[in-house]
Amino acid sequence: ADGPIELSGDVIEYDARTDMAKATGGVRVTRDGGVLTGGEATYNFKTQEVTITGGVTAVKDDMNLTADKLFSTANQEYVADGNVVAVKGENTLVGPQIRYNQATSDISMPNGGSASGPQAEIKGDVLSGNLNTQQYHAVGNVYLNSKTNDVQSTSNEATYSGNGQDFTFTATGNVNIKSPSRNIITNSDNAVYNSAENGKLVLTGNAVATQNNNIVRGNTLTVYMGDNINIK
Amino acid sequence: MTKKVAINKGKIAVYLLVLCAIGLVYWAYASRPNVEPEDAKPVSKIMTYNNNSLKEEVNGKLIWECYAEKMSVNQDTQIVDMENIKGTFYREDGSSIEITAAKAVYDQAKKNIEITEGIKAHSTDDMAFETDKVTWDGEQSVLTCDGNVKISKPGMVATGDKAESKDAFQNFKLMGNAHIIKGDINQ
Repeated sequence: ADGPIELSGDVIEYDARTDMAKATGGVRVTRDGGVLTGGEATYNFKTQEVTITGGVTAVKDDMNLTADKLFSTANQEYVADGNVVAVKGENTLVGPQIRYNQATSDISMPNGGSASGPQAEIKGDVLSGNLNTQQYHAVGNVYLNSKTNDVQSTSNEATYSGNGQDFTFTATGNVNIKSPSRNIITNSDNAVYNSAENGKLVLTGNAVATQNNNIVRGNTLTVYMGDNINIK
Repeated sequence: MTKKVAINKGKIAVYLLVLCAIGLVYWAYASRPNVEPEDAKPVSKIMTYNNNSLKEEVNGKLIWECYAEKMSVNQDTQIVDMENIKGTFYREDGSSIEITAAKAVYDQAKKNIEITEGIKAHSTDDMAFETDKVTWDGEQSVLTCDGNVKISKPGMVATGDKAESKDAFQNFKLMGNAHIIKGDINQ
């Protein structure tokens, strides 16, 4: 921490030897313009590590996080545990554990969860990504839902990359894609979707596309799910 | 007949006078103030000393000592009233904290001290505190600050309603509106 650290609560016990303080009751930690609140906190002034529990909130700039417990290190890395909801700008992360690096905006959710933005939402057993670049990678039971383009995908693994209004995603392993409004269902080993290219979806490996009882099979299929639909 | 009546009246008047006198004497006796005999009133023996010191040692180790410009020792209550004091409390590591104040009261029986008025404290390792009242609990060996506590060390200021410590404020516990600010405080 660069600036001063402020710790307040009903009771604070300070140990000069360890340079640590334990605060209980209405705890508030202020550091580098960020504010942590909770029921109990331990602050190590030497290492700048803080552990805070009991209905935790962490607010800094446009980041607002709530959790059961939060551990924060000196180099602005946060590990939030238990019912974690983190909102940063238009993005919301929900999961049992979120690791967030405030300096780089990198996030990781080793126990899974979801990341959602204005265009799409991605879920998986393990998630990682970056809140600034809007890129997320999910592994295990991946579900990706594009709210704006009505494209839903399930797969073993997927990478989502948002780019303002547009987004792309790459899915691998048991890829199943639906677009209810277009009445299209596809299955393939892999798929790459790009909303910017007229909703271009390239399916590779055991590719099958079905629309209104019409079925097309091939090793590689390209489906345009933009304004008008066609499959090549 | 008339002469006889006159004598009777005289006699009655005399009897009345005598009765009044007796009544007056009885009233005077009954309402006398209950004055204790001069030597029964308890007088506390107060011994006064100037520029004197008290100290407490445990197992030969000096725990605290207190110098006072004026000490009034009540032999009966074992209470020592002190003025313009300088108390020093010693820590395990040999460092100490010195407290100056206008007033202090030492209870010799309980080994407790209460320090008030104009309290200033400074330790050999550059810690200082201010507060309304300091108490030393001899039995628990706990030093307590009560009211408007402000503890300052290089790079740290701690405030609270109350604070207590078992090692002369090397470590301490703040209670009530506890607040610590650490780092470059002038930022």
